[in-house]
Amino acid sequence: MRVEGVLRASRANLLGLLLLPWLGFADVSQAQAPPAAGPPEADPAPEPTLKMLLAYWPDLDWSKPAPPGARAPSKDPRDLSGIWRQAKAHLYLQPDEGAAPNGWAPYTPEAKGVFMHRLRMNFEGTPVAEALVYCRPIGVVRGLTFPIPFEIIQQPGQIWQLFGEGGTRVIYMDQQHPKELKPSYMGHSVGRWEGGTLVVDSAGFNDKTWLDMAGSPHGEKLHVVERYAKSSDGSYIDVEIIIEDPDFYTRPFTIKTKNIWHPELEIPNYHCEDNPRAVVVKGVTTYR
Amino acid sequence: MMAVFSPDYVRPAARRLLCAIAAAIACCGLLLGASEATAASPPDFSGYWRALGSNALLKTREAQAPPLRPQSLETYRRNIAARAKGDLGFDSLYRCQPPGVPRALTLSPFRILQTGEQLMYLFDWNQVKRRVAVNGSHSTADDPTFMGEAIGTWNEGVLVVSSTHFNDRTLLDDALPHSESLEIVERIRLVQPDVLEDVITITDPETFDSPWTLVLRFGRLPATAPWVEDVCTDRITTLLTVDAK
Repeated sequence: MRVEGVLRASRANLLGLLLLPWLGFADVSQAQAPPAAGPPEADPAPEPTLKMLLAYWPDLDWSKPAPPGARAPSKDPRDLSGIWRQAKAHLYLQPDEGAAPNGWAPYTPEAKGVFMHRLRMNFEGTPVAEALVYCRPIGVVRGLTFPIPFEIIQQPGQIWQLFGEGGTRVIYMDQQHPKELKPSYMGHSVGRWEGGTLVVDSAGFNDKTWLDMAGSPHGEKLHVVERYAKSSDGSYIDVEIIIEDPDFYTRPFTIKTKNIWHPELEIPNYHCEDNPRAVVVKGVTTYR
Repeated sequence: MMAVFSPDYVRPAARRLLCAIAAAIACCGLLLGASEATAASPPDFSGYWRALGSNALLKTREAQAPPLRPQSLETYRRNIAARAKGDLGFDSLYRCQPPGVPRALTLSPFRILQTGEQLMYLFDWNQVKRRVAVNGSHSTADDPTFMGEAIGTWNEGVLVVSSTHFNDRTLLDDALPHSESLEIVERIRLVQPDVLEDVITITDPETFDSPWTLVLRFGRLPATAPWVEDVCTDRITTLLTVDAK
């Protein structure tokens, strides 16, 4: 999938490198760098505010539907197969409980410290090296909220979910979590149908992934419950993601995503290990 | 197969009779192999498969050395010598780059998730994927990739897969080089319920004197075997320390 986008962005290098292979799926303008948050002040740096954070890691609008004439989706609520893309990319996981988002995720004081360090390093132009940029799998929460499509393939007893940025998971429909789970990037997932809603329970994660682009941390106690409810016309799936990790968050919190049917897309051969490096020409970051 | 027996102009009663005859023939296995199906319902290759035998250095179907051109033969021999010395710098696999085709088929077990539109190969090795689009057409873009672009067509019970658009940075086995001119045609069928056969014809005039054919066979593993997350960079990397916090 050849990309011919040009990013205006020194600040968005990290985001740009990760998103570049996907820009073919959306207007390039949607993924351009957000307005600068301003240079860091003299030491000590001020505590980043939520406003600064959301200016840096905004929710991107990817709600464009499938093009006219695209293959129609199945209306069967239990048929989730196909390619889906988030209507809104959550680069920072604001909890979605209640009518209005209430800002910060409910970090424990220690988790808030870790998060603020990551945020500050980004603001200062020296982002913390994270697992995803070293080609590790994306993790479940970030895979579901990252602005890239995912594919669902249903097999007897198993639902496979392939994330375009890297990371494959299987949801076992006929078993429970084993007693001993070796921690992994994508964890271990079991699912069941509650009427037309798929409920997925995941545990057994390692602590190496980030929950979002901004750097929300988690540990090995991360427990994720997802509820997939397909719209009556089949054109989108509402996914509710409940995140629980008592070591990093003071309470469970919920992220809601809407995932739009996109039969015209495919999960391409994206190989992080061969990720073409950005080239900076006259101050403009381009893609070779 | 049914289409042969039931053109539209044949009257319904005659069609039923002809279909019955066809079904009887199929049941007796006189014309159709037990594992073959009609064009209307292709066989299901879904499952978890592992290549049988040793495939580190591929041979032709006639157990001959592949017909390498002189310059490629030199590269081939150099690669084998380097590997014997433990020098794997020539092999992009050891930088976690995708294995290409057919090597990916021999390197690790893989799953096939088959639907009407595609066969998705999920290789255990570093979770590499290969999508075979059914009844698609090759793109005209000059966009070579490690795993190439694969288009499949059902012909009776055989899936014929044409793969092109390869880059030249993979090997066909532990040592065999190829160029971007590589084209692969596979004829894949179930020869037994638990054995998948892949007859692979390799055409690459820059590397080989002539097209050549090899045969791989895959045995079925339990479909219930758990998915084990293989992360190549974790396997090979001690140089990079990822900040987990």
